[in-house]
Amino acid sequence: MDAAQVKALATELETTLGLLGDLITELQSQNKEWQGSGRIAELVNRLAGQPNLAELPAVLLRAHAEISLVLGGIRLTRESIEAHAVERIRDTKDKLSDVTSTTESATIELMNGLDRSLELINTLEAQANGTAPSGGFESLRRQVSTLYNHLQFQDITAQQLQGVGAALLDLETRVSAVAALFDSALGHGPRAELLRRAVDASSAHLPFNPDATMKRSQTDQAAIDEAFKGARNGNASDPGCAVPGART
Amino acid sequence: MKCLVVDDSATMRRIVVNALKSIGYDNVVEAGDGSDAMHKCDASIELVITDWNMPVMGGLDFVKGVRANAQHAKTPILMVTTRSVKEDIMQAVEAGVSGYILKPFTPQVLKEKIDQILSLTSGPA
Repeated sequence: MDAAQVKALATELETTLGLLGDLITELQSQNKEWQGSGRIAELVNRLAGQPNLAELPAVLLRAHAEISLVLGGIRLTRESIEAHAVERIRDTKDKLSDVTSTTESATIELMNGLDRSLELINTLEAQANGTAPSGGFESLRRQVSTLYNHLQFQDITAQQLQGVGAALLDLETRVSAVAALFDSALGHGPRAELLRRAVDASSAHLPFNPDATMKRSQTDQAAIDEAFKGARNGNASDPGCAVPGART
Repeated sequence: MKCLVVDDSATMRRIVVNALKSIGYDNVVEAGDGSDAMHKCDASIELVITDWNMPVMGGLDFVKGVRANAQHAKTPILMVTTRSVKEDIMQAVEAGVSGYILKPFTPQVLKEKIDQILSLTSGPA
């Protein structure tokens, strides 16, 4: 109902009350016998004794003005959520994707450099023709191989960032759902169901593992080997994590 | 020996291929996800090294698909992944994985596991 409709209703009510007042006065003045007898006389006297009824139209108009103010505030809040929270979440997700592609490109360049270093080591060893101790070249190759191996960080951090991205996507959906609740208050749409969406705890079906970590040791692989052996031997009932500290 | 390396991360594939070369395995085919790998996993493949979390088709489904092919019923399959909980290992064993390596890994661990699973598959029936 808009302001014009509320005003029309208030005017109608005011007119009706005015007519009612006139009716009461008319009835009271008509036949004095009516005043003392029966239900009609009682009703007329009760109606005549309602001092605040005349205020009702003005009260309605004031209430409508206040509700309009509140709705205006809700509309601004909804727009603010959309403009600031949701947009910023999207920007952050985009930035995380940028970080992943940048680190991937940089890692590949590092690998290219390490490959060239290995070729150089081979060339130098061939040129040395046995005059230099071969242990030195082998040691260099091992160093390069170790460096190569450390670049696994890129895959692991990319998975962690994908996990963060997925969490942001979930957050964006839920914030949008909260904003949509305001739409419902403004009378624009159905109530959002997304707030009640359950969170899927398993990442087995996802293209990334949000729990990926660089913090691994020989002990962790040994624990995995034990668990693998146990699983192959049918120890399915043993609960718990394969690696201490790993999330289930 | 011809190896198939499956991982959606280009950098990870390169690391695995580099590690394989350092331990003497030069003949390597690469795939970016399980579906791509299914097409490349022909009869000439003798060792499979696969990641778990991949788009299109994940590692677990890929392993099940490989095992469903009689040609690869006994092909050694190594899962190389960041997943470390017991339930994951059990699922991998049930899917038909021959060995399981946690990322990040070293070439030494890779060699040990390959030697281990090859000795198992070439052992007495």
